[in-house]
Amino acid sequence: MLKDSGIKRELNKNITVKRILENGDMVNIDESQIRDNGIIVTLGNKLSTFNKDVINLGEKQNWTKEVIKDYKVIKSHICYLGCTNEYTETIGYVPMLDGLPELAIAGIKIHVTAGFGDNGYKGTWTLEIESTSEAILYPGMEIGKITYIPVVGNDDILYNGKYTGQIDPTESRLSEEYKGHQRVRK
Amino acid sequence: MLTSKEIERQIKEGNISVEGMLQSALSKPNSCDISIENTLYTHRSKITDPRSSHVYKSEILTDTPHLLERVNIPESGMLLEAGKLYLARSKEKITTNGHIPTFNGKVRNSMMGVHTELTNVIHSDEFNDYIIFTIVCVKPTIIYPNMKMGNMAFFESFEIANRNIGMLSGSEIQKRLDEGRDIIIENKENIVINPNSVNLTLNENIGYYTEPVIDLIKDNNVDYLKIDNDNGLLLKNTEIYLGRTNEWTETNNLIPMISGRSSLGRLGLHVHNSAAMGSIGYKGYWHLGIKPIIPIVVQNNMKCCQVYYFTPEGDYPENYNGFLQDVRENPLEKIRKK
Repeated sequence: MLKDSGIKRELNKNITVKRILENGDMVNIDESQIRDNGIIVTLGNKLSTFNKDVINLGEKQNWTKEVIKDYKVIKSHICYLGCTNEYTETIGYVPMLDGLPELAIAGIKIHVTAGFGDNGYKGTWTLEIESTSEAILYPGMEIGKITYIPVVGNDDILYNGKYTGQIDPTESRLSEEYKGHQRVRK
Repeated sequence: MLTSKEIERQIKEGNISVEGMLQSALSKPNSCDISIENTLYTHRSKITDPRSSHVYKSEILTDTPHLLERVNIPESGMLLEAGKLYLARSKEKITTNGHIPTFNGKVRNSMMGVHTELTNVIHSDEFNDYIIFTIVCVKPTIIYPNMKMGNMAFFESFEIANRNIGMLSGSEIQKRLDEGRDIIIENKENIVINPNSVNLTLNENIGYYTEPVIDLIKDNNVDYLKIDNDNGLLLKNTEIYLGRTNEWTETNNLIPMISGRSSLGRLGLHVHNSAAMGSIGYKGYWHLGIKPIIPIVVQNNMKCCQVYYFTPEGDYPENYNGFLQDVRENPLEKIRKK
């Protein structure tokens, strides 16, 4: 895993991390965001959730989107989708997203057993936020850390999947793989 | 990632210290066991605020709860409420100089629906602290004092990537699959190679615990369901389900790690509970502790998880002998046997 000095050396070369402003402009991240062997990412101001009794894989979910202003009290044991303000592109490393201890101690998870990114992935990170009790989220708060693991072997397979280029919280596109209960795409 | 023999060597050289380490802590191939003591803490307030977490943490480390409440676990065990957060300090204090401690839960706890971390696993290469366990159970669960509750793995930390140390690319996974020595996967027809992982699929046999309460040290009774080929199987969000992959895998000279799929994570489906890390030399199916946030209908043979491969640093034993090693028949039976 890269040290902070290694991340600084690779930044704007194989590792790109930009912060997206309200107006859509992308600017360099603050140097203070590089610490503890990673890049600290912050919470964007959009949240999505859906209300459903049962999920079927072939069905599209009806997501309710909201923009949070100062803070948001999230409910317990509900899956919210958020996103980072940071847009990332990574070549030659596997980026991995981990939550910060401040969130864990408050009972908040930021992903559901899928913390690894892919070599070649471009986009912001969609966060799968679940809390054990009601909890307060603040837009712009530090929420996670991306660490970088070098790729061993020929890294010619680059991510070009369903979520390439995502900016806003992006719902599951699993329904594209299914028609009713039958899988139509490998 | 360091092997246990390498962790031992780094401890001797003074680069890693695990104060209070249990005697048998390094008996697995690539991690060090860590444990709880007999104290848990819960939040008093109905609403938690991450901005107060430094206070919560300091209350735990100094054992002076105000915002938190202290609960002692008696020798006879204590019943944890489902879905509630319990915080605990590790018995061990970990100090590193140049290695990144990375926390991981126990497979057995994961299969009983007990989270021991909430997506906070990777610490820094100048770590000097206790670990705070964040314990959440899917079902009401009886816990005991001094239990081993997690494994600490250690990653190397470097400024310039050495392209022999890290995680295998998809092409490298394919190459090693073709060579048939480091990575063996039987029933390969449905696997998919990704940029740096391989997708595996869900077997039709699903177990669940029949009793309303799970006891972490007892043989909890399991019953079995089958995923219907046409209609799938509805998983409730109040149960922990035991699944496994269709694929039989063998991993040599590499450390495998499992993860959920992003497309399923976005729908709130957990496929393990804080126990991602595998062991060098593991032979067997991948066993899943499945828990949806929202009830979900799963399908037979669906792509359910992906496996990643890390290169090991240091020596390791030839044979791995974990409790799920080389179990072809009735693996679910094996899980519930203590």
